Amino acid sequence: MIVPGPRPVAAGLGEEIELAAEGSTESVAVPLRLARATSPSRALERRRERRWIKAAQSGSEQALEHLYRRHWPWAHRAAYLVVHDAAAAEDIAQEAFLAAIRSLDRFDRARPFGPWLNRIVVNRAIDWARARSLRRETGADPDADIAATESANPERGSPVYSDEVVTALRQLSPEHRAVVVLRYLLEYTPGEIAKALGLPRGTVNSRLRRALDQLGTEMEVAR
Amino acid sequence: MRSADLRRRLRDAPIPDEHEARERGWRVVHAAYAGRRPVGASATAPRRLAVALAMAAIVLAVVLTPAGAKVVDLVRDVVKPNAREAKPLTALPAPGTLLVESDQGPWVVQRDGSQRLLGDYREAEWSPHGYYVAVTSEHQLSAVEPDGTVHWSLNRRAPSDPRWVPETGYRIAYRTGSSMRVVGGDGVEDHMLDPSVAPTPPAWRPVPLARAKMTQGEAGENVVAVAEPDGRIELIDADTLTVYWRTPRGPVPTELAWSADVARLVALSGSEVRVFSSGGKLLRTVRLPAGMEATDGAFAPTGKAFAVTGTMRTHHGLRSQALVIPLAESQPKPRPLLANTGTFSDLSWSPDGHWLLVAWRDADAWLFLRPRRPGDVQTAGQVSRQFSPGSTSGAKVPQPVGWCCTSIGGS
Repeated sequence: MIVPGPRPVAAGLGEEIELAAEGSTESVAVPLRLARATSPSRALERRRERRWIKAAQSGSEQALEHLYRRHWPWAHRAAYLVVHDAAAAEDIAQEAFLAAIRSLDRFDRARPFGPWLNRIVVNRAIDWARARSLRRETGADPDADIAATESANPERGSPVYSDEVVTALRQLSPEHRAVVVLRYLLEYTPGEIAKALGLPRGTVNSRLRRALDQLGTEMEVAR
Repeated sequence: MRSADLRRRLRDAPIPDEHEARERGWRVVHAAYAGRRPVGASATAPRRLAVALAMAAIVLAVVLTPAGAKVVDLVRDVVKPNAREAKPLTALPAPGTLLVESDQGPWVVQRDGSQRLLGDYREAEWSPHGYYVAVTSEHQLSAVEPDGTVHWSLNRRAPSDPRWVPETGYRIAYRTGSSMRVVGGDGVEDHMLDPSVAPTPPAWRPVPLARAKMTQGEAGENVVAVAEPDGRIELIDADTLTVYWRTPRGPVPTELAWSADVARLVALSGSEVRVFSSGGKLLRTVRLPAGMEATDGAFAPTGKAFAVTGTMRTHHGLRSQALVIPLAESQPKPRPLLANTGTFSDLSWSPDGHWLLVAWRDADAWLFLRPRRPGDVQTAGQVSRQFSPGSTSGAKVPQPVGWCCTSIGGS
């Protein structure tokens, strides 16, 4: 298991990233979180990320690798927890990074990288999961990934119930999974989630409540 | 469950293949980054851009205006290849493996120019990731490995135009007689899809990396666009046989192609390109240059541009043109890449989208064009001999049918 580093955080209060995704200028709402994050370590982290972006824009592969290794674990994990398909999660995270590379020259360094990336990831993951839920599966075992996860988990049987929560999460709709992932993995506020997903804040809150209730029920049943 | 507990569990949840996925992802991202040109990285970039723009302006003036016709030969000397002096194909200019149909059968051509004959088959089509090739013979549809090993075969009358579902490869659609059928990627569960179709290859809708929003009630994964004999286009679920939408009648297309983002379905027919939305609504019709009849068309891997080759009759004889239509633009107009006498018959994009391979039938040559640099053309000559070794009679010019596999970058 790759243990993600500190969750990348946003840099501006209600700001918008001027970043063209795949050739078109796209204004993306940025989480408000970092406006509250004033600790020296976070400020240092933001400065360091800005330096990486600047260097990557100038052609530094090393800077790009720093950015990649900083953000990949979160993007990949978020995608996986929404789609529950390892191959699709990998594709979704890759596609998001490729979109970022295509737009790198136009990236405003004053803006945060992670929230923009994660917004793409989560929205694509929702689309993918919706599409999958509509199709009739043939030739694929929908539980293959979970089975593989369980058998590959050396801690199975230990007090760590991480695969249990993944299984329970799977019972939720893609939309509910997404709000759980944004809230509890990426630590967005409901307002930030609303902006990222283009939903009313009340809808986000109700989805969160319903998702948590269902998660609790599923995990109780599993025990 | 407490929030902190849920947070910890989500963060610690095991993900299959996590390390390998991260390293695979890095290789892809790194390759994409290496292929880009950083802004301001080169002091000569503005000059090169100016030269390119000037060259593009000249090409446009020559191709599009009657006055330009008189200087076309002069420009041709500058930007056109000389097929008679062209060297044989010794390597592909971009990564990937090329599938070629020839008189002797399909060939697999590696980047280094080495080539292998698959067998005595008529047509060939890559599976999504290049692990297999669907091939047809007089009475069989087969899946073979790139080394020629037969994986499975299905006996059907004159199968043609096999096409795999992108990404998953779970299905193959193919025509037989006037009908369209579908078979599983493993050669089982063959069934009728449509008893009466036009002689147009089917086009599977790309999934799962679709960016288009899908709502309840729309199609599932194995959904294919099919042309009807009256020119209507239908989107059909290959598993449930549900018809999701049907366009009005129109010219029978010779090619159907989805953009990679599923936002557009293109129907190429004669002198026009019709662009439909993912819901079957006609978005626009792009007219090809006057008198031009399309011979082939294909989306760039990015899905933003659609390349077309075609011919037109002039008082000097048959002329051909290769052009690109930037369909991502609000008012897309064809952009000529190259024009010459004779016939441009087939085209194929390189997986990275940087090269366009055009078969130049009358010159027995292949042209490797760079859509971003219209004057940059590499030519391989005497290709028919290369793909008919030992043949003493004249062989037809081999047709590039697929450059595997779709990758990153692009134009």
